[in-house]
Formats: sequence, C-alpha cells, structure tokens
Amino acid sequence: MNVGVCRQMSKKIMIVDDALFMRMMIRNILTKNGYDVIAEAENGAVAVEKYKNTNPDLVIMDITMPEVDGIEAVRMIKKIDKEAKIIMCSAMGQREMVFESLQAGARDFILKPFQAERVLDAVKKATSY
Amino acid sequence: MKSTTRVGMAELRIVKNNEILVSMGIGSCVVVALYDGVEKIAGLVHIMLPYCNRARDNPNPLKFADTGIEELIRQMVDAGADRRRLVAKIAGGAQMFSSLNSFNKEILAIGDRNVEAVIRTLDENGIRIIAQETGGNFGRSIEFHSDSGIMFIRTVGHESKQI
Amino acid sequence: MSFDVENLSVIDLDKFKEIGNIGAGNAATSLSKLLNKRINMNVPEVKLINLENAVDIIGGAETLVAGVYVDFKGDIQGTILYLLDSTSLSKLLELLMNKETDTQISELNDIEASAIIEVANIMSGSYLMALSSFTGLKAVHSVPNLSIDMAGAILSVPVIEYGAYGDKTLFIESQLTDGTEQINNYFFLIPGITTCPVLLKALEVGT
Repeated sequence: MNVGVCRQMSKKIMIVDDALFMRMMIRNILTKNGYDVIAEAENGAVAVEKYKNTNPDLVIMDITMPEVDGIEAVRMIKKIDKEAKIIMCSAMGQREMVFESLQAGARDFILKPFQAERVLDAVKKATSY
Repeated sequence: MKSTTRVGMAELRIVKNNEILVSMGIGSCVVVALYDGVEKIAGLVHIMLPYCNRARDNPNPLKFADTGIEELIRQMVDAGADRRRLVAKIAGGAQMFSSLNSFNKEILAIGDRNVEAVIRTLDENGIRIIAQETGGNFGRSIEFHSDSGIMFIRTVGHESKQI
Repeated sequence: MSFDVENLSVIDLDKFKEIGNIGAGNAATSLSKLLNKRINMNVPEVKLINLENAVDIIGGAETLVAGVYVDFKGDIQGTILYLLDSTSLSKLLELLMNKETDTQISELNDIEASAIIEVANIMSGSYLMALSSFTGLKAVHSVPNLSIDMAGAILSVPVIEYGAYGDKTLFIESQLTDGTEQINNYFFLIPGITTCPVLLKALEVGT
C-alpha cells in the first residue's frame, strides 16, 4: 500500500470525442500518468448522460461531433452542475471557437494535434482547485 | 479481342459490331444503357444531374438525365436502332458519403435524385427498364456488351454481377 | 451572378494557389506533429479540371483510395477531400499506431478508420484556421466521413457539385509527402461556387 499517494492519482476523467482513435490516444496518455478514465462518450448527448451517471472530476471535450456538439454539451453540463470542470480538445482552433468555448464554461482549450505534455499540463491545472 | 470504348462523365457513345462500352468509377452518376437486341446496337450516356435547367446558357445536355437520355435515343435511332425495340439497363446513383453529419446533404444525396430522374425520363419516353443496379454507398464500374446486351458490374468489396 | 470558374485570370489563379499554400502549409505542420515526422508540401496546384479528367487526378478512375469528405460553412463554404492511396494509407497507419500493419485498405478496423478520419479532421481544422487568420474569413467544418472506394466514384461528388454550374471543377490541390514517397496524400480544397469571389476579394491587395 502506497503511503502518501498523490491525490491527483485518483482523479476521474471522462473523454468525449467522436473519434475512437483520439479517445484511445488520450486515454493512454492519462492512464499512463495515473489518472482514472471512468467514461468515454462519442457525442455531446451521450456525454451529458454519462456525466450525470458517473460524475467525473474532469471532462475532456471535443467540439466537432454528431448529434450534439461539444460547446453545446458544455452548456448542458454546466446547467446540471455549475462546478463542472471541462477542458476542450479540438481541431478547430479559431479564436471565436476558443472564445465561445470559454464563454460556455470551459476552463481551457487544447488544440489538436497536441503533445502529451500539453494535455497533462491542462489536466493538472484544471483538477488542482 | 473486342474493342472497348470509354464513356466518361457527361459523355455519350454508341457501338455495334461486338464492341463494348465501359464506364469506370461511377459514384453518384447514373449510366443509362439502351439496347436494340435485333440490330445489336448499344448506347450509353453517363449522366451527373437530374434535370436540365434550360435557363442557363448552353449547358451540356449530356450532363442531365432528361436531356441526356433524349439525346441518346435520338442518336441510337440515327444509328439504325428501332425505337420500339429499345430497352434500358441502368447503374449507379450511389451515395458515396453519409450525409448525416454534413452541411451539404443535398449534394451528397444527388445519386437518388439522379436515379429518379432517369426512371422518370425513360418512362416518359416509353422505354422499359429491364435491369437496374442502383443506390447503395459504393462505386461501380460497368461494361456493356453490344453482342449480348449484358451489363457486367464490378465493385470494391462486393461480388461482380451481370444484369 | 454566377462566378465563372473557367475564365480565371493569372492573378486569380495565383491567389487560389496562395490559399492552398497557407492552408495546406498549416495542415502539413499538423500532420508532421501527429506523425512525429517531417512532412513536406509540394507547391500547391490549382487545377481547373474538366469532367473527363477529374478521375485522373489520383491515378485513374478505378484506383482504390481512402477518401475523407469534410464540408465547411461560415463566411466561406465548400468541401475538403482528403485522399490517400493504399500504400500511403498503410504507411500513415503504421506511423500513427506505432506498429507494422498489413491491413488491406478495404478492411480497416474501427480504430484504423477512426485514425484516418481524425487525421483529416485535424488537418481540416488547421487548414481553415490558417485561412481564417490570413483572410479574416471564418468557417467551421463538419464531422468527417470516410469512404474507401474507387477514386472516380469518390471524386464524382465534388465534380457533380461544380457540374451544375459549368464544365470544370476547381480543385486546390496540395500534395503532402514524407520525402520518401511512401506517404502521398492529397488535400483538396473545393470552394463552393459562391465562395470563390469571396476568397479572391479577401486576398485583394489593400483590403
């Protein structure tokens, strides 16, 4: 039994992206660094449902997805839980997109393609308070 | 060795004497083959769009189902075919990409509209469709043989067919 | 007022080429980061392709290719088509998944298909972002769609769209390679007919 296990190690994260490949990639980065991926969703609608059921500490959210897009999903989740911590991760990095995401309630914006360090930095920052 | 003639988008060709008409990589377009089984004259038009909007200047009539088919009939008769004997075989009109998440659903679904326009135009011209291989979400290559009137269809990932 | 794609001036062609440069340059950088490999971009070519020649772009109507279709809308609208032949697809997948693969192009599994789609997604985002920075014209892109089929069938989609207006299709083609000629992917931007004049205007000197 590890004494003094870092509290970060038990943070529960949900990954939302319509690309299986991307979910896998992010999951690998997170689990290799001690995070617990408790749920995955392939679109905004599923994300909202799973958020309600699993109550993650953090959500990593893509924007371009079928059914309900990421920014809309952020708004919906924030309505359910105004303390919800969400960071965007998208290929669409135009200023307006970033702005709209932050306005909707996201805390950070990771632009694809990203390096693992960028994801880890963003996750650490978002879950540290 | 039978000679083959390619029929590309918005083109029309007529052959006899055992020659073969070929169209490759047909996606949302529709190829319309007309055949006079007695004279063994085969014609093919490769259309892209349903109806000709005559308001535009000089559009190529072969692009459109209505004007393309009418032109094919005209040329077949000129070549010696008996209009009353003509029968049709059609292929193509696929939807290559799902339009579920697209902003451009209309264009992606053009295959279906092309097929409808072809069926309607042939009907209006009293020509019976005796075989049809249309729709789906995959491309097709076809060969239409003037000696037998058979259309051979090849696809990726599905079995070859004869209609 | 229908934009006449068939009578573009030399300056117009140059402007479209510049769009290809800017957009694909950024897309190439993104691809490079994804693959951890240097990706070069050949000078973009602006092609006004006749209907009958469209299928020759990537080697013939029956060449088996992976095609990802993305459309975009906003200040500008149109289509992006990302095409790869079999060899390039295998090599790309190897680099993305970090392992050898002998998967046939027509038998991609879910993860492999998803990987290619995501590459197109990322590159499209980069392309449009670069365009936006340069021209001020904003656009968002759709969820991408993959089709693995004959090149002719896949290319029929944008060609038909332009076919409604004229006899040529405008393709802004960028060929990205890894220098060893194993990865040859084609990134086509096909601007909507109403978008062509908008793009040209945005590149007017002094605007």
